[in-house]
Amino acid sequence: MRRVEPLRLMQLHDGELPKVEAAELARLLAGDPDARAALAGLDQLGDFLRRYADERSAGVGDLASDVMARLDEDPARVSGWRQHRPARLTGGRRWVWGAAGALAAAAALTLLFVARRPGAPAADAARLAALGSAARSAAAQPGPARGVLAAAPREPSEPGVSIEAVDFGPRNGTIFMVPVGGEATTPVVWVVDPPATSGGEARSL
Amino acid sequence: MTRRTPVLFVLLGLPLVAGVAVAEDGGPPPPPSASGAAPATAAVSVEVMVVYASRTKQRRDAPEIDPKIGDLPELRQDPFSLYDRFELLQKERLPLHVAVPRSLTLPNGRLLVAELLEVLQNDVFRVSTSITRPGGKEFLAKLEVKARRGKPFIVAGQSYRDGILVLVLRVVK
Repeated sequence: MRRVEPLRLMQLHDGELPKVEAAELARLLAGDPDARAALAGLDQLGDFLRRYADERSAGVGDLASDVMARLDEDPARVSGWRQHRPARLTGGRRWVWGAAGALAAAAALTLLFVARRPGAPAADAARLAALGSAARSAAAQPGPARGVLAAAPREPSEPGVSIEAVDFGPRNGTIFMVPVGGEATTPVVWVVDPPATSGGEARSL
Repeated sequence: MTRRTPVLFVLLGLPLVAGVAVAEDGGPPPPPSASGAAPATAAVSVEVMVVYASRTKQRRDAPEIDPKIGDLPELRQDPFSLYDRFELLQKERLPLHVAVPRSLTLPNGRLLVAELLEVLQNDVFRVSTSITRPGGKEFLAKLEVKARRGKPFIVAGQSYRDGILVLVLRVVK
């Protein structure tokens, strides 16, 4: 009995064989249980890979969206800004500022993350919210800005960590604070990154 | 003063110059402190914890946090609470000296660079960090913080496997 070659089996599975050859192979398969099992295995493998890819991409995408959505739910906590991709001029590192964007972004970047003072928690929250909205306004301006160094406004209480400047480069990103008990908070700089393609290796973008 | 005096100065000065050269070859020069006393940065490091955060298919009620991470309540807060598994991949200490960048290769091949910019009063340090991709392209061009010793700040969002990397940094002694 003629043995069905694995390559032809895969071609049949993938629909790559001409009709005549496919019919011929189907006839051979009728008398070859091993080849039929191998073909069924290819079907299962294909199903598995498709399902895995779907679940993975769906999961990652949803999660990234969930993170941003969760931050949007609590704008007072988002004290940073989401920088749009800056306009690039000629040369490797020459960037321009939109004047309005620069001012607002500078305000947003001069963040001082402090433990909320017992006497004025609302004021701090409002201030941070204002900074956040200013930053978003800046991001909406044409001619978006690149990060800057700026002097942080001083607070009476000593901060645990204060963000002095952030330059997200070509990325989008945001800054927010995570409460860690009591009045203390920890600043988080979140950089938006496309999902890794495989094996944990970062894509070379 | 005789005509030999300049020669004498040169001869006397040579060992001093040579001494400085040896010190630089042996390591970065210690930064000056405000009081002029011994450098305050010799024993300062930045501790970097690289945590892999992922979400399991069957979401757990409570997150599974690698005990090696220690007490890090931030991971139980939004938006980190969207992930339910946290695994410590790396924990390194990078010794810091003013204006001497130190680097750490992350699990995704990117390079984290940390640099001590300034030693301030009351155990506060001004530190700059950046992340570059393999090949030198910037990922996070610059993050500059003033951090009190022991207080963490977090850089998160880098894609890794099916989740993200959460970098927890703190200045320690």
